[in-house]
Amino acid sequence: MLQDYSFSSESKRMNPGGIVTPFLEIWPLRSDLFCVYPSMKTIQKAAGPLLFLFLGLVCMAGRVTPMSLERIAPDTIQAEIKGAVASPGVYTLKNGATIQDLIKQAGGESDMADLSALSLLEEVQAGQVIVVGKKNMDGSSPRISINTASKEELMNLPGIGPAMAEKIIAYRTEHPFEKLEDLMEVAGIGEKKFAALQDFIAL
Amino acid sequence: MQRFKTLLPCKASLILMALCLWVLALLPAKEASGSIFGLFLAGACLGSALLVWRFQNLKVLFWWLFCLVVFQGSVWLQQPQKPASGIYTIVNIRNGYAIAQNGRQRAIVYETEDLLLDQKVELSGFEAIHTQRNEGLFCFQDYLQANDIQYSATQMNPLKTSQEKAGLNGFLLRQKIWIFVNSRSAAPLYRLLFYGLSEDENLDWISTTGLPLIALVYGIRKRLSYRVEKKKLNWLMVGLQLSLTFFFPVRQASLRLLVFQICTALFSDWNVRWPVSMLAFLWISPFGADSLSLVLPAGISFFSHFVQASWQKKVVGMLWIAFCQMIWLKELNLLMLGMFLWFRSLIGWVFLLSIPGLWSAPYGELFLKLLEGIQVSLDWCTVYGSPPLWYLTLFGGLLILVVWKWKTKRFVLLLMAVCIYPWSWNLDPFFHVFQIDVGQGDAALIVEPFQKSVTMIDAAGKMNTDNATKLFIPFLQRHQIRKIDRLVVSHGDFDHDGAVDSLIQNFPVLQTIRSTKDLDPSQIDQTLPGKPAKLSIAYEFWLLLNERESDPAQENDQSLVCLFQYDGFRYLYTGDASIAIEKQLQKTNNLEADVLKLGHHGSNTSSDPAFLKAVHPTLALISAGYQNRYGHPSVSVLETLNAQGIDRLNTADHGSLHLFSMPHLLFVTSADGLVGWIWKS
Repeated sequence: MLQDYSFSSESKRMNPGGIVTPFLEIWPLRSDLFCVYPSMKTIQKAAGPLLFLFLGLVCMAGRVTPMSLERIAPDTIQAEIKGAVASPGVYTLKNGATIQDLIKQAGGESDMADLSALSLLEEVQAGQVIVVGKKNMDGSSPRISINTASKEELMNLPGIGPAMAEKIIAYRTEHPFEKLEDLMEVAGIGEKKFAALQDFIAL
Repeated sequence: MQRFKTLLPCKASLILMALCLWVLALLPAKEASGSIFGLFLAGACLGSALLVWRFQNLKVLFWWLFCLVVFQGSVWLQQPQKPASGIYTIVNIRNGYAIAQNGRQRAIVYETEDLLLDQKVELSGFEAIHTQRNEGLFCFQDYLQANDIQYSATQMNPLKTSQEKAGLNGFLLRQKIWIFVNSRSAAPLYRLLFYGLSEDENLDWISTTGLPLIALVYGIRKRLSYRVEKKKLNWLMVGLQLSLTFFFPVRQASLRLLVFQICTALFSDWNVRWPVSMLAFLWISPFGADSLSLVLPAGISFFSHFVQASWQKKVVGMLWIAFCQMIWLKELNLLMLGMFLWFRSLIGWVFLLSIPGLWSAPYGELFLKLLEGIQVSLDWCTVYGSPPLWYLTLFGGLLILVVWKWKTKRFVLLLMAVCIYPWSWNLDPFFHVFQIDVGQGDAALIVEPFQKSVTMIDAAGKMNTDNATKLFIPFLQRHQIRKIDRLVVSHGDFDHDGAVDSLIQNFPVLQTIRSTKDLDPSQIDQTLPGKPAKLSIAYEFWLLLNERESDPAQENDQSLVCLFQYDGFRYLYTGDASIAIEKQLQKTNNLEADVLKLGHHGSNTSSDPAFLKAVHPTLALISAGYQNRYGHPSVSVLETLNAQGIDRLNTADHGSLHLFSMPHLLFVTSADGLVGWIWKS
């Protein structure tokens, strides 16, 4: 049996409790605490197997890699704003800030800024580029509003003919356009068409 | 002389030192990282504390440090290097690949026709090896990594320099023997016997006990032991095995045998022989501490030494073999347990009988035909299962207790533990979700505690192989799942339902759900928006948005959307549904979930930021293939995950993912050793 295993007397040359006995004399165990605390002898006996267990745990721990699943969204994001603002450039915003906050941080829009194409309360995505266009000389917006334009004005847009314009008008009477991308909900306007007329429309 | 002897460590300390060094050698020393070295130092300190506690003199500490220094030196000398273009020697030829070595650089090549052992080749164009990694199944990448190989060479130029002038004759002998064996008419048989290359499935039974050459060595030893005196026999066997290393490629099993044989010849006292052979093997091959060829025989020798009666020795040996089979082979072969030695001596005899066939071609061919005719399948006596950690700890603990002090009660408990092995997974109280690594495709397995029910979502197919019989059924067997209660096929694309038909044919699947038509109408809730359906399981499992606006031609948009909840954690699987469907889902359901499997393998046709915000999972699972041609997962989706603070795990990077939960606590592990947890109050 592994338990009563001793090959040579060397291991027993020193009193096995040699280091510990003086400690025992200093702190005699109270007999009424035996059932609660393990006796010194039990701890002594268990120290070896426990050390071996710890050794095993240390080595098995080397084989697993702990990972943290506590990623949180970053506090700040960076976005660029160009065009008719006081100081165009790259700004650091709080995560969740709106386009309005970005314009404010850029010093506010300049006099001839055309905000009709932007939804001011839309959240800015990290790395997004916001372009603030300029109004025409006479103060009107160079862009055609998809919410209020007439059929003829809509036909000015590239790729939009009479049938398409009617479809847009039919759609917007039920669902007003809240974002430029909502135009793609109209049957017949897909990604390609939208990309072609994106720069000419406003809400 | 006497004083010199007192300087040597005492025998008991040798055994403890060998054990501690073996445990320490289990650290993955190949990753030469700071944290591993830190753990090594911590282990060294614990080992020294243990030795000092037990033996209480400093001499033992000195010898322990000596062992560690030699071990660490060997690790440093043999640390594998990343292979660079140059001239390599082919050191081993296996089935379908060959191992080439140049000093510390090792790589494999896949074209093995006309390759000879010890041939010099020029290799370049190294790429990292990546194979599918599923827990419980054999992983080729891990197997190669255990042999210090991480790269394969894409360009190989055999050198035609005159090899006759090259170096030692002994090493050319290997090549000549290889050529000789391959030129025999019954070459498949001899390749199997001498090199362990199995090409013919009918002959596979010959290599169940390991390399047949080793069986021959044992057989010869047994025959000679009747005639030759023990001491001379030991040295004779040392000579024989040493010569085998010149004739045949060196493998860990033969190296282990050689080291153990030399120690047997040198020391007759087990108390010195066992620890010295362990220490010697670990010094020579420091990365081989976790190989079956070391642990199995060393364990048998160790444990059977401490029990008295000979029947107890046999039983303890068998139990250790069972333990090793459960961990390394992930199955229990009952025949090998009881009849391992008999089977090995049988293989030894088969080998001996086949030797005349090397020179006489008709004899060889006849023998080959005879062996092929014996259709031996060991399936009937195999119990499959890769048992959970608690079971292995219980088994190991009971075994140690039994060997510590033999008591009948403990032995009976141990036998009972062995008997519950086929049902060890049925005793598991966790709720499991497995995301199987199928490459480019999807397959998820949901197992309730105590295997009350098993649900599978999607079974991806693969070109060229049958995923059902090669991947899914072995996976289910290793997790001791005997039937699938329902198989939900999200939609009809090959990378989601390719293996469904084969799975249904070869495995008990009680219900297949491809659409709500396969459900009982009472399960569909007509009052709620989208008409969700609740499956008839004890826990919440909903199929959402059964009434949706979609283009019938778009198969992806017809995907079944699964939302299930257990232990307070919600999981959302959207199949390949596109952004349009995700928008509709947002309108009809509360999509909050803790774990989201990204739709369409993480492509940007799904997973738009608004959807991810509505779900706001803690963890996103991505099931995509390594270097897939679609670029899944797409960068924009990964950026959105980053922006919203969502952790992600990709089966392409980490292999199969295993989530298991208790109330409020979800553990996440991956097949390559990642461990994490999510606490939800």
